[in-house]
Amino acid sequence: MTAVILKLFAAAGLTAAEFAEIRSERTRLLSLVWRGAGLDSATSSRDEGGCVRVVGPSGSSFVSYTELDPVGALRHARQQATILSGEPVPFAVVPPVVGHYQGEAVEPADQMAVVDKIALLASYHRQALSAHPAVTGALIYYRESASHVRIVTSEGTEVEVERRDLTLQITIYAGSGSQRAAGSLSVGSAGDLVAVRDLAEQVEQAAATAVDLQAAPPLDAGDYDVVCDGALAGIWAHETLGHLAEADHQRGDSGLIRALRPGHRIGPDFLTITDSPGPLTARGHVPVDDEGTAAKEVVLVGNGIVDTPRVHDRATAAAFRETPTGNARALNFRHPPLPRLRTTIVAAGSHEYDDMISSLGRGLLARGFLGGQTDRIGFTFTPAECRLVIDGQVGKLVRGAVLSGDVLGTFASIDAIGRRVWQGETSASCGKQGQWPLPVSSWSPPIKLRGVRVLAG
Amino acid sequence: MSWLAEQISCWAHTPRARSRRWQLLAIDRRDDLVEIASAAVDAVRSAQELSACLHVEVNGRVGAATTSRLDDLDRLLAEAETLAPFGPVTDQADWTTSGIQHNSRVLAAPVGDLGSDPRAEPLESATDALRRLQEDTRLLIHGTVDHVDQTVHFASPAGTHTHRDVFWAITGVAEGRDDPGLQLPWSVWTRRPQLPGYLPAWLSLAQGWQNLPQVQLPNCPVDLVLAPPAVHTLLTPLVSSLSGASVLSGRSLLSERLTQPWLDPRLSLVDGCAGERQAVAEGADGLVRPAFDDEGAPCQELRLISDGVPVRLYHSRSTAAVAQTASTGHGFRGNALHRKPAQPVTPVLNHAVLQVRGADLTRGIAELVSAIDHGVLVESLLGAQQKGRLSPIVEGRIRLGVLIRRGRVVGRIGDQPVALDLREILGARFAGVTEEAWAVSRLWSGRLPFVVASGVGPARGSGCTT
Repeated sequence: MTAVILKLFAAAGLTAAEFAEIRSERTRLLSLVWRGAGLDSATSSRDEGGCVRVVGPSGSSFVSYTELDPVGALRHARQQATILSGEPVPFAVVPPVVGHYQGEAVEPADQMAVVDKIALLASYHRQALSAHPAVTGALIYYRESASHVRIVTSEGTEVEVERRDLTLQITIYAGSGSQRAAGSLSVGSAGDLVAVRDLAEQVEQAAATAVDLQAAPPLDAGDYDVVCDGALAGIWAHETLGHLAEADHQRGDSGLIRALRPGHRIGPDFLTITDSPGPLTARGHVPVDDEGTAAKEVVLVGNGIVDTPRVHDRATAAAFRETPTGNARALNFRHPPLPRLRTTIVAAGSHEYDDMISSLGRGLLARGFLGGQTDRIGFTFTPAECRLVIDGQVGKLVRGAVLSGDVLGTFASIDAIGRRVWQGETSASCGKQGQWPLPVSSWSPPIKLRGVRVLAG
Repeated sequence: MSWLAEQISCWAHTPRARSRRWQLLAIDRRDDLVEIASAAVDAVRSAQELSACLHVEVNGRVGAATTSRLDDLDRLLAEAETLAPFGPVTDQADWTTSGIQHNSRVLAAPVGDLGSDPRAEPLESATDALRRLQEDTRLLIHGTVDHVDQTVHFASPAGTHTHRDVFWAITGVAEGRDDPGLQLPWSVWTRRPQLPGYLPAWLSLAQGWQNLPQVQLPNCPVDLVLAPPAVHTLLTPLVSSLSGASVLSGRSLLSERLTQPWLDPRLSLVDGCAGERQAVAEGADGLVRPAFDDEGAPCQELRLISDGVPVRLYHSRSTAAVAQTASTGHGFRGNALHRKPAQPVTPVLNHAVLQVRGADLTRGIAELVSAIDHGVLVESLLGAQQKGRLSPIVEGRIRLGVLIRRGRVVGRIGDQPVALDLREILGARFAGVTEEAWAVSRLWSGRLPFVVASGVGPARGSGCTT
């Protein structure tokens, strides 16, 4: 540990019985919104601040600040923990980590002039509005961020992480009033502008979907077999098993702990789901977490059987007497880290995509993801588009499908998993306890689910 | 004068600032929060934050920038100016700040003598209240107690308006000791560190629902009781439709039906009711009621639905300009409870109250349940959405519900699809409300009672079998 850092902790009066960490961040953000006829808002943001956490015999305390200095914040945190007399919070032991980490981008977005970015995205807006006479509007949300994060702890961890993120959501509307319909495209990257280039074809496709949906019949609610494309299946895995595996969700829930006990079968033997640090180019790339723990791959389910049932931060790892997994993530300096997902991956299966579709007697082909939620008991998802499949033949678009089900029961309903893992990035981000939008990656092959309850939204 | 107020005042008088048309929203916020698990202190948190959003007009266009570095407002201005050439077109109306008393300060004073340390003792007091609640109800209590001190500065070349608000945000969930599946969340915002009066009675009633058998929704008409969170979900399509933004984008189910009856004539919806302000000032359950919105427009009482008829829309400055009317003071970045300068402005309701003439049923929910012969109580819904984009029907899944027979709760209803028509439940079938009302805050914030509708059903969502 450098002398400067040692001095910081000493100046705050930190004792040997106390653990402390300081996380400081400098972030630049750019947000662009097109609505109506043109650019509706253009906002540049400079977000700088820090946080400290002290864990000691009297309890733990977290202080975030934009104006205090780290020493002042540490003193305040120590005082707070003492005054309120909480219980000590054990932290699992991790070896100190020293290093500088960054992702990879072919064309870092923050290095492109804003005028060029606006020109590129405005071209998509113009294209969307003129794609078809029935198009009545287009909404574009673009967000990019570049952060420098520094974490030091009283145990000797000194980590610097450069993080970049980029999301683009384009929604195109056709018709009006009760007949209004929408098509969309959603892309993301770890701050690489390449993700938003050459989208003209996808813009045309989104416009065509919006126009076609206008005339699409509403779907009859009921139970359907559903083939989800990779993008939707990835979100499904994240929202179901992924969130169940976050250790803080399992604390005190003996039923869930029992349901996810190692060695327990929850799905077919061709189902394997992992949560990993992700490659350098992934939105969910987390080489070291926000507690300075080096990230490891976690096999949540292997061949249908629960392998490692939980992803951890240091507190939950201590509570369960397990090893930290490098999943402690915080949205920014305003928040303490929590167990969060990173790059969640459903492993490739052996089923051909075309065979999965042709096996549907009366089912749905669902693609993309518009929204959804889960309370870890049930889930509801809204696909970006849905087509009725009768006797293996893909038919027209249908409107208003909302997929729902029971989280724990859904794994047993997997009929097939495709061969090719979709490894794209969308604008979908994760939210938990007010910490949204946290970048994540959710990769999967197409998946066929049996007997999904479909609501007509 | 605070450091931030001085910064703004000094900067506003510099030649650079005086040469431009601009508006600055700056927030100085401090939170002191205790996290509770099973009524024991689990963690302690504090947050101190300065943040600001500056809009500047350059040659008829607007650029915006936000920052947490309030010591360099010149740089903030420069960043906003960089974006202005690409920004939306603006007009004179966007820059008028009429209705604001410039260079004014409003302090919403906390009730009582806070002593030298305004936080530690009251935090312990609120924490102790949660411990007593756990003992009395025999449920496990988890939650957070948050002391919030929020000062909002709205500045322009014409001057600065400041509003400080100090309040407690207490959120929690009560969980069954023997039945962790029974989860009863609540939230309250108040001027005193105290739990709302309804909470002990509600949790004492609900703790008897542990380990009840799971039952299906009845296949016959029932009396339907919606708890405030479920009422909030049911009202959301209507509330959203009253937003100027929804009307202008064609997403309002009311756009052609303003001034036509929608609800029972005994029902009205008022935002920012003066009567409620009194209740809030006295420290009773309430929600924050700001003096001005994040665009500097004064907040005012607004009757949105009068005697069952939607009569007014609520606007931000930009939606009002398109509609060629005046802003109603509802333009917020985030909401009044937590203003976030980095978020765009949208019309938001912060203190909507469902007023009822002559239809109170009972003082409290326990009394209400005991009077029901055959009914269903729905505490909240999961994944509820409008059936169609412009539909008054909300479909979702019951997160927590119970079956009532002859005044007793006999079974739990969970994870079952349900479809609720707000015109039916708050219209043709509306029977009344409880006297007590809860604060609920999600997309919009309000204080809502339990609502009873008679002879509703079958209320099951499509696709559910008997």
